[in-house]
Amino acid sequence: MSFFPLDLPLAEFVAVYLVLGTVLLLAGKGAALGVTGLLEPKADASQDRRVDGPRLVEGELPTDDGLVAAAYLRGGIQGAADAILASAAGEAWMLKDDEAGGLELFDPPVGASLRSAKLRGRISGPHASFRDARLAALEVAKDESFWIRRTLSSQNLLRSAGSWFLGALIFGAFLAIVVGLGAVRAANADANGESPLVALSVACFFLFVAGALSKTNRATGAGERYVSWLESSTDALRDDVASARATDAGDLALVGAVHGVAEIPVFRKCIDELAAEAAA
Amino acid sequence: MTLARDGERELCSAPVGDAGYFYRRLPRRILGRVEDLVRDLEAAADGDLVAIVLAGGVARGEFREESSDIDVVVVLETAKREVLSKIGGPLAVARAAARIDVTLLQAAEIDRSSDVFPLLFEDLRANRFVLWGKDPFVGLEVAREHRRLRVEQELREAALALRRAAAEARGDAKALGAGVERVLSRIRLPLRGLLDLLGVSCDSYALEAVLSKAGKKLVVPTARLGRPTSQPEECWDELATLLATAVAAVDTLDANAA
Repeated sequence: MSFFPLDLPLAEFVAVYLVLGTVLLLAGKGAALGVTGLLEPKADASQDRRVDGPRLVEGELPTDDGLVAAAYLRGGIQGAADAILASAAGEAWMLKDDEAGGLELFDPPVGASLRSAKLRGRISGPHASFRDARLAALEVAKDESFWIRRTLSSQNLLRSAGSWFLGALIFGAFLAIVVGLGAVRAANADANGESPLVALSVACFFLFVAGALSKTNRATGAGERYVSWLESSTDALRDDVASARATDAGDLALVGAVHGVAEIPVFRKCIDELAAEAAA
Repeated sequence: MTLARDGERELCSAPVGDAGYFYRRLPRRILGRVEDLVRDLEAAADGDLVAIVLAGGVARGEFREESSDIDVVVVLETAKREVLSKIGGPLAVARAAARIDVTLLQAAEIDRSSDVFPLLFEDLRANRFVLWGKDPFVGLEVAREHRRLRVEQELREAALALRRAAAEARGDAKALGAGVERVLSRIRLPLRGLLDLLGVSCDSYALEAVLSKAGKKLVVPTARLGRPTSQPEECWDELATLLATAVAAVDTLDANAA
């Protein structure tokens, strides 16, 4: 098989392949977003859509269940788990254990959410590592993923499974062309008197880039706009929580849901501990 | 009007009462958030909105991007529960986005509240910028006796807090320094109020300037008050003397008034 750019000398092929592959992947991403965007129902202010669960709209900060749903929209199931952990820190029954390391656990206080009770039930004993607590929160979040997805879909914030699959199919087609070019060049390497590793390495690089590009969850355009609004609307609060200037339970839960647990001092210390262990 | 930088703190040497100038100097991001709040309140308050007024540290020219709250006074006609519920959303967003801290007043209570919030109202009288509506604080008068009582209360509370800080520190210099710092951060406005009552004009709101003027007027040393971290014990001693002298001065005013 010998056609442009496969007929080029190796160095020129790599240069052209890098440029062409990047353009194709971006075009694939754009095409996937464009086509699935066309399929999204258009927002119509005159129609009062039926909404299941908490309503997520720009101009209103989410609370309670809305926090977990917004966190899912931002970071998928791990995002929802982060929101649950942040609530536990806000309710002050999950604290940093400065002596033993990791986390010190108490019983959730009266009035704590049912979600907190579920999380506590999944961790036995008065101490837990950050990893174990995060895994337990992930399990609680998985149990709730059905209503979260239904809530977000009913508000046109999350793509339907069909729409997401179509997007993946379109992007996958572009990726197949890019990786295929590298694979064919590698297959012809012997005939060209060159190492197949060069073309394969560039193809692997594109696989990595594709992974990063497809990392965005299933948020619709409206969902992405909402998440972007939410992030920019909690800028100052994020700084205040991270510096322990704001310690209110609701503030911690909101920041954990919108910006992740790394902004919560209790978990920041745990993450730093883990990083120090890994470095050692 | 000039602004002089002193380390990480920006000391303002502008004349007081230039709140509009200070407002316009806010970072564009913060200005945008304040404008969003004004627009959202106007839409949500259903005609109950009387005025939105910038007050506090920003109006005095003391804004620090990394830590300052933006104090805003929202004046409502009725302040009914339904209205308050509707404006709750925009207020929460403003707080989370830019530390905009809102005080909600009912228009009719302004004239009748200056007796119990004399320092707040005196500050509003001197430093404010109307962001929306008609200025509700025009002609506001704060009685001298009310100011005197409030200054005395705040200075006495500061003296109590200073004693507690020393007891709780139990000889730990670092804890003592932190306690002294906390007390220092709360005496600036009452001390400035005292100077005003004593007829001493102070054209700056910077803590250092207020302490220096108070030290001169009350004839007490203040040189070590700026060193709570490096010389906590000496700083504590100077602050205790300053507070005791200041409280005595308020009492003298009381006797004179009587």
